[in-house]
Amino acid sequence: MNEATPERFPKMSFVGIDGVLVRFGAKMCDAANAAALAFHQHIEKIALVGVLEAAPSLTAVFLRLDLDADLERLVHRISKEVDAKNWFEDPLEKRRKWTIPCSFDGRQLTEAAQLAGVSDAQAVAQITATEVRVLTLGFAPGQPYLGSLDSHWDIPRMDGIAPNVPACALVVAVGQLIIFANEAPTGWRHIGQTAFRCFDQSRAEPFAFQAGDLVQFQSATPSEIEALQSDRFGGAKLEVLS
Amino acid sequence: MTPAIEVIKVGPAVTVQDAGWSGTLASGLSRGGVADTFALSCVGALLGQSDTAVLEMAGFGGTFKFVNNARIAIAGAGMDVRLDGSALLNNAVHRVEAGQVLEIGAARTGLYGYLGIGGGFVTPRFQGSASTHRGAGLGQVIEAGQVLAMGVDPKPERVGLVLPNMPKSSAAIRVVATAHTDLFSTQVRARFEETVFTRGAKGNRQGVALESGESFALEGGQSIPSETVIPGDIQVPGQGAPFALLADSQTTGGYPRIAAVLPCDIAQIAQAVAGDELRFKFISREEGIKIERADRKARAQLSKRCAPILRDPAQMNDLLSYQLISGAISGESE
Repeated sequence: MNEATPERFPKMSFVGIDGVLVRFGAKMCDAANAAALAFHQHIEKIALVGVLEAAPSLTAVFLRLDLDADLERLVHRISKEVDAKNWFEDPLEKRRKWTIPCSFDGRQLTEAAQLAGVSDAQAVAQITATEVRVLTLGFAPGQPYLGSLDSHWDIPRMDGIAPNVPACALVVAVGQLIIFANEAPTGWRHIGQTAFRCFDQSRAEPFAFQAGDLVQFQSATPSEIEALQSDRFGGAKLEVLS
Repeated sequence: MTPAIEVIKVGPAVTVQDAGWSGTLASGLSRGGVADTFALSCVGALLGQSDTAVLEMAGFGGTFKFVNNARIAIAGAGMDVRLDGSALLNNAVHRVEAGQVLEIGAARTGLYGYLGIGGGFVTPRFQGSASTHRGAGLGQVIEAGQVLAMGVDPKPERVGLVLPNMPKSSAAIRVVATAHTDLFSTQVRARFEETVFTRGAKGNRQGVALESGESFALEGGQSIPSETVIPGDIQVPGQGAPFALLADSQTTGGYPRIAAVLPCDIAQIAQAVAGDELRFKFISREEGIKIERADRKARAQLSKRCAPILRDPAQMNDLLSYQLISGAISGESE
C-alpha cells in the first residue's frame, strides 16, 4: 500500500457501477466506527431517493444506488451529505440497549483471560461491566461484532483450524465479542454461552440487532441459560433509549 | 395456490429461487436469489409474468409429475428435457397436462437450469423473497416426495413460444474498478486482464475459485478492514488466487478486491463449470453503467422477442441456429 500519501477521512469512492463507499478510517478504531454508524443513521433518516440501501461495516458505509436514477446528481448529493458535518464529532444516537444473559463457561475462557492478563473471575467481571456497541453485522445474517473492550482484550485469533462453536456462543478476539448466529468454526475463543438467537426467521423481528445498538452481558448459570432456550430472545431485555 | 408438481426424483441441489432480497445487506443477508439473473428474465418473459419463484437446478434436474394442468418454461443451462418421453425445447414455454411426467437431465452446457411455472412456485417467503439461502437457513433443498404449489396463472393461453437462443459468449467478462482496485499496481491489473483463468473445482452459490497458477496477492492486503462485499466482487485472498463472489456470498469480507464484475456478466461466471476458461477486461465505470442500463432495457423487452415455435422439436436445432445468427451477436468479442 502507498504510504506516501496519507489518506484523509471521510473518503468517498465508487465500488462497481452502482456502489458508493464512504470510508471513515483505514483501520478499525472506535472513532471511525462511531463516525460510520452516525453517517449511516443520517443516511437512513434522510432516505434519499435513488439510494436503494445503505449498509455500515466496521469503518465504512456502503450505499447501493438505483441505476435508473440520475447518478451524477445523486453522487453529488451524497458527497454534500458526507461533508455536511464532522461525523467524528457527531455523537452517535444511543437508541437501544440489550441486556443479554450469558453463562461464562466457554471452553477457552481461561485461555482468553490469560492472554488478556486477568483471572477468570476478573475476565467475567470486566466483560459484564462493559457496555459494548454493535459495530457491524455480518458473516452470517444478524451476527453482531461487538466492541470495543479495553485494550488488554486485544488478543489474537487462534492460529489454524478451530473446532466448531455452538450457535449462540460468545467468543472473543481483537478487542471484540461475537454472539455466533449458527454453529460454525472460528478462530475466536469461546468464552460463554447465551440463549440469544441473532437471527430467527419466525420472529416478528427476525434480525435482533441493528448496528449501533448497545449490549451488556449479565452473568447467568448454565442451567439458567438452558431454561432460556425457549424464550424467543434468550431472556434478553431490550430498552429503548430515545 | 394449487398443487403443481410432485417431485419423484431430484438432483442434489435443486432449490426455489427468485430475484432475492434488497435492503437486507445491513443485517448481514446478501442479495441471494437466482445465480443467473438473465435466465430468470427469460423465464418471466416466456411465461408473461415477472418476479415469480422458479426452480433452480444446479447440474441436474429431476423427475416431476404434474398434479394439475400448468404452463412451464425452461431456461438457463442446456439440459435434456422430456415430457412423457418426448423432447421439449429449452428457452420456450409449454403446456403440460395433469398426470404428465417431466424429466430434466444433467446440464450439458452451463450449470444452472431453471424451471418456471405459470403463476410461479408458491413457497414460504422471508421479507418478500422465496429464495433459498443455505447459509442463512432460509428455504430448503427440494427433496423427492415433496409437492410444490403454484400461484394463479396470469396468462394460461400463452404457450408455444420460444426465445432466440442466446449465443454463449466467449468474450471477456467485463469488470469495473471497485474498493481496492487502485491498491493493485498497473502491472498486476494488466496481468489480471491477460490471464486466462479456469473456473476451479471449488465453487457454489457463494462464489467460485478462479485458477491460473498466477498470484495476484496484494502486499499488505491483510491489513484491510472488513468491508461490505456484494455479488460480482472479485476478491484476492492471501495466497493470491482470485475468488468471484456470487448470489449467496457473505455481506462483509476483509480480502482486497481487485475488480467488480458488471452485473449483466455475473451469469457467465455462475454458469461456468469446472475447467471452463474465463477472461476479464476492465472497462470504465461510465461505460459499465451504459452497458448495464442497455442490458436491463433489453431484458424488459424480452417478452417481445418470444416467437411462435414453428417446427417440431426434432428440427428445432436448425431453426435455433438460424435465429442465433440474426440475433444478438456482439461484434466486440476479442
